[in-house]
Amino acid sequence: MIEAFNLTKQFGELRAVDDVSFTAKEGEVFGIVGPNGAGKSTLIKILSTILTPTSGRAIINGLDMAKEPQKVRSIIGYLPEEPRVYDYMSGEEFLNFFSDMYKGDKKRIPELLEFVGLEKHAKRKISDYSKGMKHRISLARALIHDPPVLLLDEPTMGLDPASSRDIREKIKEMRREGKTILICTHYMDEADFLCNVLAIMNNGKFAAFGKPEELKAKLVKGRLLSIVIKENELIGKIADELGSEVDGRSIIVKTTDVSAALSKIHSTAKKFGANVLSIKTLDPSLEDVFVAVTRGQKWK
Amino acid sequence: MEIISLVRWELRNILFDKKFMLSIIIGMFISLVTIPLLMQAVSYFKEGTLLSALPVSIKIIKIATVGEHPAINELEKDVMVDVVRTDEKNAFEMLGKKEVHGVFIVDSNSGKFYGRGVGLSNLAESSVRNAVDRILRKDVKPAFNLTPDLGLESLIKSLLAPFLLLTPLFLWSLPIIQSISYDRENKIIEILFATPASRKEILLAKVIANMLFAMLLGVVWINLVQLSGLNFSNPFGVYIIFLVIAFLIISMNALVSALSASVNEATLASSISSTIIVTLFFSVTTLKVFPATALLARLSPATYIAEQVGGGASSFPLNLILMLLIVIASALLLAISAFSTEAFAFAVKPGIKQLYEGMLELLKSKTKAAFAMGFVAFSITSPVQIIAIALIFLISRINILLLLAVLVAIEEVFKALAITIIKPRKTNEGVLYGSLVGLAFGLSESILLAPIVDIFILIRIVPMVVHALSTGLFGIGYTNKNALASLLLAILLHLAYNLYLVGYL
Repeated sequence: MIEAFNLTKQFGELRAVDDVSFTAKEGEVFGIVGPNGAGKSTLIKILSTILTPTSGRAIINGLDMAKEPQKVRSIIGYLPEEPRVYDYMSGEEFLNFFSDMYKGDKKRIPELLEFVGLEKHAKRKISDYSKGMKHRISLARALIHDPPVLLLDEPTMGLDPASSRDIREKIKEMRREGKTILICTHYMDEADFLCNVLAIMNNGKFAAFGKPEELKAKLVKGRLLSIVIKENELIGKIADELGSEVDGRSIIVKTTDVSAALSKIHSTAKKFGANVLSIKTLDPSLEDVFVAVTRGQKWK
Repeated sequence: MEIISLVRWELRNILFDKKFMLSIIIGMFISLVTIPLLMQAVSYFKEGTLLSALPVSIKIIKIATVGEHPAINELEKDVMVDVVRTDEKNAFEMLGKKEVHGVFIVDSNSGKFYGRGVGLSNLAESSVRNAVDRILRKDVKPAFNLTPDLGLESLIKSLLAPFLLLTPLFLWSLPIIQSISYDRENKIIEILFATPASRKEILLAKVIANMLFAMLLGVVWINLVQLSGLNFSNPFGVYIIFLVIAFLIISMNALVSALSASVNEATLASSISSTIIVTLFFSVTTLKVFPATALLARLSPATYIAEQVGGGASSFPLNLILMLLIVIASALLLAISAFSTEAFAFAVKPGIKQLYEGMLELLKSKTKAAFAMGFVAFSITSPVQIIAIALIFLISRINILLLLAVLVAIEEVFKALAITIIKPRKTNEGVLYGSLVGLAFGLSESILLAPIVDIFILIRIVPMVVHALSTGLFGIGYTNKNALASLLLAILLHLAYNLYLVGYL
């Protein structure tokens, strides 16, 4: 379990993490999404004890990070955004080295190699690994001491779809094992797929916080209508008249009262002499929530 | 004990680096072939062929003596002293015209010498006259090597010895740079910092692994060197000196790597620092060629190696080793401080302010940090002073007053810089931190100068107080916005004491 209380990190003038408090429970995947520079990586570095918070504190499985950093380090598995590896070692040696650092059980090495699908490449130098393989050996490294708490920073960043799916499946598997998993990600679909609880971080603060479905319901009130008209040249004018946005060839209308919106769409189309080809309703995605929160607006 | 695992892995990384090990073996092979060839070449430098070209054959001072004494007969044989036997009246006339540097008269009753000398500003002249003075008046054995037969062949051999022996250390101390800078450049340091090992353990493990490597290879190297023609009277003493210099270079490399942003930058910085270390040691050792400066050569650990080859039964320079350990500890402290800064985890160069913050975090006390800063200031000051002496020597004939003023100013400026980093706010803090910086500085200086001077109180105890006073004074000035004036005052106070000391001597 991770309990964070008013964590703040100041870098000179910049407040990278601003008074963040939360609790992530066992068997839970706690996701943090946010734009670049929101403070996600700084927060995860604080929780992995690489950075000291300017103020606030965090308790991990009952251990105070500030008082017992060494004990905390032995129960967390930290996976940085980019794979950090010793290029000159083989995959097996790399895991062996970290197993020694954590006084881990050496029996885990072949198991982990199999877990991340690298058992056939164990003896190869990491410099010969593909990017996806480096990510996978890094994940194995973070798990070498079977930590109950995992801190994963962008675990699938820059990976091909197959490797990303593999890693996401592994994370789900570990969630079932009852580990506490904190994950930072850019990908909304990843957050939707993996996380039980989600925080949207912006400018160092948690701007929104809750279960993904709750967030969608709470923050994106109403419905989205996607309208396609025949006359391309009129898209801009009609969108302006309706006070809505344009997405490619579609006009996106946000509304809480669908029937009123439909009549307004028809009257506006008539006014401009446009032919409506289709009107569809859209469910809000997590991305919509993200956009709404990070732009600081709520749909009425 | 993560540190043991770390040391094991670091050592394994060094030994399994095939390219590195190959270059070490090739380097050793080249040196081993070169040593006997050089020794052979040196043996062609026979006495008398080049000896006249060396300053050792110059009569540096001229003295007038009155009366008979066996010591005068001894002195007459000396290459550097020109003895004129005359009567008392003539002797003082010569002294008045500055035709001689000093007059020594044998007291017919006691058989002892009394006399007078002209004021000398030339370091070589005053050193030789001092030596003569001691021999004649205090009836002591020559403290300076005033014998004409310096043995050119063995001299050159002995100077070559430390150079040949120490050169491989450049290469041997590279693994620490690779290790620190690689981890940092590739940001592996992030995941190492997230393991249960502390930052101090991680850095020390790297230093220990490199030292173990140098220790193992050092045993092989010293034995091989002896087989190829360089023989040491006390190989174990040479081994210890060798290890201390290795430790110094490795610690400096740890420091520059912790301060550099990339492997390339660290390698460049290390080449500069190692070159400075070896050049300083070697050039100070060459001072043993000139009898007037032979004592100063004792300030270099390489001199011990040279003396060992020269067949001399010189005493082990324990004080020098202690002083070098202070410098090593300072370098390691700064390296760990740099390692502990947040900038390090981000591969950003830490500034001096952050470095000091790292030190505070490590020592957990401003008082301890101030004391440590005194040792750091000393470690930086010493090489700067040696370079300053060389520069003064280049631009002018050595003027004792100028030399003392410059040396004192350098010391006070570096101690003052330490205070400006510590930034005391109140007057009492200024006094406390200033005195601590000065005390640590004075302590290091006394350890260094111990074998050169023999007046225990004046040269070893009082200077510590003077250093503490002068920097404490600066501390007061700094906290009361009078930094420059108090720095000048500190320099004057320190200079006044040093002038008193010179006058006393």
